Amino acid sequence: MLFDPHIHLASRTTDDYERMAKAGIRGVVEPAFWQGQPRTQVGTFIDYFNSLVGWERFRASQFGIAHFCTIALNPKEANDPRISRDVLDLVPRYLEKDGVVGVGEIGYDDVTDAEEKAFAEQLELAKKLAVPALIHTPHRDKKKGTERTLALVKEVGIPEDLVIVDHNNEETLPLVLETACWRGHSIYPDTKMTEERMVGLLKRYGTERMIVNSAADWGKSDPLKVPKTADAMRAAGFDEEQVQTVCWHNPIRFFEQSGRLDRTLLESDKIDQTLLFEGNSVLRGQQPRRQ
Amino acid sequence: MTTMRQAATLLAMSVTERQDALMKRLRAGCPESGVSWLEEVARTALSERSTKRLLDAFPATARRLGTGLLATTTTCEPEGTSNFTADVGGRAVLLLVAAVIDPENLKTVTEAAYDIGDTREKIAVVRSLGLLPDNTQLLPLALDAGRTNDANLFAALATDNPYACQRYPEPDLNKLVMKAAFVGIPIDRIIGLEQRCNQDLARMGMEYIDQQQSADRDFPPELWLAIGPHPPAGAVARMIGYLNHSVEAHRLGAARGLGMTADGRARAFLQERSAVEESPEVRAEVLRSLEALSATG
Ligand SMILES: [Zn+2]
Repeated sequence: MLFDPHIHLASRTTDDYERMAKAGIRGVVEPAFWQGQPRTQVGTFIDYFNSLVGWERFRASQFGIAHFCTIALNPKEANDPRISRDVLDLVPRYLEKDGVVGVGEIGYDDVTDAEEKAFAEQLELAKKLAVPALIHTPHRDKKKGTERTLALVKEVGIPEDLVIVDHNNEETLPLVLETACWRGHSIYPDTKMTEERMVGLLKRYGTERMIVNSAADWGKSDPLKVPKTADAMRAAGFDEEQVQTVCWHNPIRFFEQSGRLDRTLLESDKIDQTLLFEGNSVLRGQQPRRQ
Repeated sequence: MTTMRQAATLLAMSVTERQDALMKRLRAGCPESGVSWLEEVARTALSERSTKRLLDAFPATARRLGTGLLATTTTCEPEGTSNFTADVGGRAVLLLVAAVIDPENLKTVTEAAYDIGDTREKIAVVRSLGLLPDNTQLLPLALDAGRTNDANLFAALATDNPYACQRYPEPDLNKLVMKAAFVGIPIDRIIGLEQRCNQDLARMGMEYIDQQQSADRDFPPELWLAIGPHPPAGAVARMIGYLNHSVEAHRLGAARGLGMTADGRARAFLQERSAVEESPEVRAEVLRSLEALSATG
């Protein structure tokens, strides 16, 4: 069984869900992030957050996948003064919703003051509520951004066990390894991190607190990167227990610290496509499946 | 009779008394940790005069208190609360605290709880409407719930909830009753419907029955309750016909409807039915209706 702890399913299709389920993915975490285009009012965030805790969870359940999410104002849009304060004020309430397993994605993107303010405020919130924080690291000037990230984590004083630093590569991972933070790796098609490079990191540094995700979203990305990495690990001689550690147990253990990750949802393989969400179905007249 | 006594009680109950009545039931039926969490939230919100505290706690209420049915106590419950679940009760308390902190902004706070709520949270808001002071201003929210596709949310407004019959304008109430009949919600669970029945509703109900019959489809027998008090031409005869229907629920519905008509012509037929009716439930209803008709002359 596989778990993808970072995937933006609101941007994906039912075909993706079907392929993911078929490849063995039984659970996901969908962090709140930006949607590829700027949102200009707080109401758009309300609708987005609502879909993360409601509609998207329902869609996933229709394919036998347990869906959890994290809620935050993302760093990119923290830079927009039209919405940032209002969205930050909404976050505490959404963090109390069922199935919300932490604060995220927070962090630096362009490393601006506004980003840092939102980042620190939301890290404090995670600390206060004792829930996991999922931290995005910048794609440009990555090493420096990661150093500043780890410094802020120390400054805020949130327990490092509650922090995952995501989107690591060969340059940033050694920095994170010096802390107790969890180590996230996003596997992308063609660019950045590949399955093969990931296997290299696992060979070199072991499996402890190592986590793999697809970070699939509205851009060119691949929702099957977790199963593909699992296959690459097997091909490189890792045993099944090690594969399960990285692709199942680690992410679950991390997000379980929230107290809101309901394992019975992961373990149940019930699908009931006769169910409706607020009166709506994912079906378009097809025969509902029940198992 | 009980309903009327309870309604009178609610009018006489202050906001804090309504809160206390709910807290008593929550204490009896919920985990202690959840109840003290709720009390703490209320205390902090009151001392900081912060309705944001209440709204931030709104989603967590189901997790803290559970979602089980709250047992009723021996004392009078505020009307429409007898089948409150723990999460509904807890959320109603939060809204009542908001009414104490900032009565001017109760509309804004209640709408915020509803707009950003998931279905369970929305249901809790809708079920609490009858408990809130100055609740006429919450009509737009109730109308929104009445238009939903979500069967559970709609049921929270339409069944065991006094709000719609208290506050809905007639045309909206009629639509709500017809929608309830259409989606299979028993309209005898619309609290206060008897006092709000009107000619237009009776006409709509009758037309619906006609339409179903011409399509050879069934209709909910309780629909006669919406028709009985103002029967259009021909309706009494139709009800009399249904008194002899082979399906017990139809005989029951017709008997109940006839009891509301104040139409003396029905008495002979009810008497006749009472002599041959085998179902004790229908027989009792037939006798009740006879009594109601003789009371009206
Ligand atoms: Zn992401």
